[in-house]
Amino acid sequence: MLPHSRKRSRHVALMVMVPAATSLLLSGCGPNRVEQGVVYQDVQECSQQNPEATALCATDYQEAQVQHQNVAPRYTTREECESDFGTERCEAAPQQQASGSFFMPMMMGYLAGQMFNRPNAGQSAPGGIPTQPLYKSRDDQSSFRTASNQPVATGSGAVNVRPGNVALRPASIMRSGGFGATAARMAASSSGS
Amino acid sequence: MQRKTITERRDWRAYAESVGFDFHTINGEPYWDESAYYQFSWEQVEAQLEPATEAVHEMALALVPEILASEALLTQLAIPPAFWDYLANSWQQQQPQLYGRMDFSYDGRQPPKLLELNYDTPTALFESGFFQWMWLEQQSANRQLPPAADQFNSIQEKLIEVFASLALPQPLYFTCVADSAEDRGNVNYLMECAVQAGVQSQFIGLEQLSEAGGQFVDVLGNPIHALFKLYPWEFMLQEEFASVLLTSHTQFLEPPWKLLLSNKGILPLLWQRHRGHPNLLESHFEDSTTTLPSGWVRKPLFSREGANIELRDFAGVPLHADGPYGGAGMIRQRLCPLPVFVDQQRNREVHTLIGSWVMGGQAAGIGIREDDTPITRNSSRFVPHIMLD
Repeated sequence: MLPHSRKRSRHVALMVMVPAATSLLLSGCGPNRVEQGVVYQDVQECSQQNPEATALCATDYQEAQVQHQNVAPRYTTREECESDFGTERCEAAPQQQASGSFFMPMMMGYLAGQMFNRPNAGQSAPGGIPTQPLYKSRDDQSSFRTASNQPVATGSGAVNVRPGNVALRPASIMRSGGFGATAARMAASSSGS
Repeated sequence: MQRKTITERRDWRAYAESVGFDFHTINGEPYWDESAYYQFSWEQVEAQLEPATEAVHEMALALVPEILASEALLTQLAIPPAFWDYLANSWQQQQPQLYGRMDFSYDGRQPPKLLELNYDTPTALFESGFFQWMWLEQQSANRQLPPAADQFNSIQEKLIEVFASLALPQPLYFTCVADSAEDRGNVNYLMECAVQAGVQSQFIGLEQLSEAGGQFVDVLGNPIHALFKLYPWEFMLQEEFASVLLTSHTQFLEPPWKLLLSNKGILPLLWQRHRGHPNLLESHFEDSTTTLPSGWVRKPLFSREGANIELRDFAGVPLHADGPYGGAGMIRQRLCPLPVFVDQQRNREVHTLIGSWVMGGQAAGIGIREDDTPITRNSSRFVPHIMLD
């Protein structure tokens, strides 16, 4: 009789579900260019650390504040916003063309994109990353995140970021809530079958 | 098909927990049970279970365009009219499916009989694809099983192949009820397989799904182009956020048209078109709530995990499983009792169900569930299997 061909997977392994292996997989690496930026909580912190560049600190901070108005995520109610960013961490968004009132998270810090590209000879450096506001989500107060929810740092100081991860995107009006009400009503332990 | 007792691996619970299988025991009762295993012959797998699975899968898929083209059938299956076009578009665009599981009553002798299709949110995937594979590997190494023992289980291999072939937009988001350990375990395993297939994967809680400009977005406004959801389509369609489905370009796994195949109404439709097929049981739409005759089973169109099933055995003894479903119509299916085996260690009879997986149109393996009653439920024990001649 001929031997049977095998009926099971030749090999199975878990790479992500096993905690020890997780960091290897998730840290990854890619062809993406990395740029340096600096995270500050506010303009005072920047000026204290760079007494020779207080003017640039002020320019960056103003730029971040302007971008905050443009890119901060929008919510239709304060409650929805606070459920993502925490109690007392949201503010009214600037009024846009008669589209009603909205709420957005407060700026908790900013990413200064030009501090490492500071022109010594007066001309601006190529490349770099856009200066922008940073936020902290309710369930992860340890990370500074961009308006697009990319964690960039766990504190003030220099950071390496990929420009694609910190591109600026205009804010949109969000409605939250999602799905799940039916399962919650049924109090089912599982939605599978 | 035999049930055999075996010495359990000494440290399997610690091992289970180390790989994220933390629902091996549910409410103090065993869910993963390796005090025994089932043994199948190659003939039972290759001449019965495998061809039955692929035959049923093909018959079921062939029904989809027919149902979508018929308002009468869509109505009979209680599909909300507001979403008829949505379902039809997902089929016309050939939105791909990932997987499915069908449940058989099979005693090793008579042809497997289809009890139902779980084609939208099938679970017990990790236990089937990974954990029972490792059980065989380790018990063979322990010399508890003969070296020739194999398993009808290429689930993980095929799942990774299917993920790699899907060509979905990335990242692929995954969602489920985040506080259900079992659902989360299944989704973690699916993400694992997606990552191994090179698919960028990211979890989002069901309630975190948001909407901006008619598109599904994550909590900070990133558009969700592709979303795997372990959450029933019939639940989604009746919730407030369902309106976003009609405007968002998000591609779903499973695709919307799979709603049709997770509906129990598929069972009478299959019977009408393939009357007498060896793998099908006679089934009818139930147009009354009359007393169920002996030898029949009544099921709601939408129900899960054995809930709300009414059964009357050949002697006329009724058995009813409680549950939260009902209302949308019922079907009646001829009773094909699950085979009964003796659990010698616990000295009791068990009723055994075979869940047969389909990955990318191919039969991919089985998972076996045991219950002390004739109706398999969420709490029914998962028992591993081998193939040996």
